Amino acid sequence: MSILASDLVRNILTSFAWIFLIGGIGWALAGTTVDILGWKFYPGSWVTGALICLFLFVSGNDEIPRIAFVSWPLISAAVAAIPKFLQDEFRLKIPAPPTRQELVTLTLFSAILSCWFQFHFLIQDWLEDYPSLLAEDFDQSAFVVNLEGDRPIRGETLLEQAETLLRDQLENSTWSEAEQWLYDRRELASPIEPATLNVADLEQQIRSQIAELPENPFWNLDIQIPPGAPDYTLNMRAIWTGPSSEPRGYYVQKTCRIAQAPIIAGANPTSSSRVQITCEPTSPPLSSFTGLAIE
Amino acid sequence: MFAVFPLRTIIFQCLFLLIAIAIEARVLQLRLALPYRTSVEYSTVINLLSTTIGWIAFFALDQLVPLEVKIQIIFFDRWISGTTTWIVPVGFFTFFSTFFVEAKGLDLLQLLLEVKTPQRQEVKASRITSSKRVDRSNRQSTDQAYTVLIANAFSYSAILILSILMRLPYLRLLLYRN
Repeated sequence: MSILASDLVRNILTSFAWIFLIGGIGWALAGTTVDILGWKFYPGSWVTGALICLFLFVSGNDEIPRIAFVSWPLISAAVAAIPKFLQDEFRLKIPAPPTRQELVTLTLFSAILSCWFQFHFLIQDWLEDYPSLLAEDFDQSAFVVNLEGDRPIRGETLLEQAETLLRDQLENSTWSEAEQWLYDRRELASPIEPATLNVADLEQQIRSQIAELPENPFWNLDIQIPPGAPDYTLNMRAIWTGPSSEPRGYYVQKTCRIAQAPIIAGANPTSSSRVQITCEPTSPPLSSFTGLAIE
Repeated sequence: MFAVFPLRTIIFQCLFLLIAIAIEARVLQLRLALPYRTSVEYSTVINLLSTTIGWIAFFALDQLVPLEVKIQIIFFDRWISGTTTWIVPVGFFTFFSTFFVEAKGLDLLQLLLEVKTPQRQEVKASRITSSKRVDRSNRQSTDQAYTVLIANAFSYSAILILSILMRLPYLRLLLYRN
């Protein structure tokens, strides 16, 4: 292995390449100013600052880390400030009072920009912990805006998993086994409320299967048997009780019917009838308070 | 990554800053007899300074507020009933700490810029007794602090009135898309 191919030398060469690139571009763009409304802007320092941030904080093909964005305005301000501190022949000088005023304003303005970027990342953190918030309507907010129209509802995934579990448990059993399963779990809260099924173990299983997030305690699974519906119609609900624009939370509902599978003519008559489950697609979010669709 | 973006924060903050800078510059100009450009520069610096320190305080105190409350306020603009008792103390604290930061900031700025006010020059040059010297410089800085207090009072009132106006239903429809 030649010495020029070793990692250390390659790193040194790459670093020097970056440094000279930054110096060159900084020097080339140093004079350019953009006049907006009487204030002079130095776009050159922003480009140079961006390059410095890339050089310092970004390695390889990784995602750009937050510190790069958050420190970019401050570093750009520093780059713009450097010429003020230099006299001819690269001697340091303390800038005169009028320039100091400019420098202070520039530094503070960049600090505020950095704070805004940091706030953006803070909000992304919260959304990572509570992805169900993305399904909400942010029009009332004085702080944020939802730029993409996409509003995924996590409850749909939960109900799909519940449906899969239900099918796993019941589809391959006989009709009497299925009836027994349903009967065992039946809970009658009170005569006026519809009966519910005890689904603690299903809920447990779903919770272990989905991504572990701080918002998970706010999702609950409920299965109701609506009165008056044809036999063994189940209303599966994923209820969201966490922060929401709806005051009492909302839920998404999936209705499944468990029926006897039609007997195929000519089949063995002694085999017990099979179970057929048909499920409808998940409903749009419904308010927990009114039961009506949200907006 | 940019699906949910604090665009409204940026816009409102820019709006409030511009208003505050304009109002405080006017007050500084009138009470301290400063030229127009200087008062605007001073006002810009102290307002940016107080905003920056406000942000830093926000990030520092962020951990203390429960996540539920933060999410309700920031995303849904709704105050949970328990938090309303905090508004008044927090409001007082914000106002007075802003005033303090701005007053001290103005002093520091003038120090940094080596501003020589007539009183300061007179104090340096003459041979008046030390007590009088202290009196004059005290009075000058008290005047200045009082001016900053008044300036802050005006700008906060303006921002408060603006915020209330923005919450009126008709204006909300104008400002927020559907």
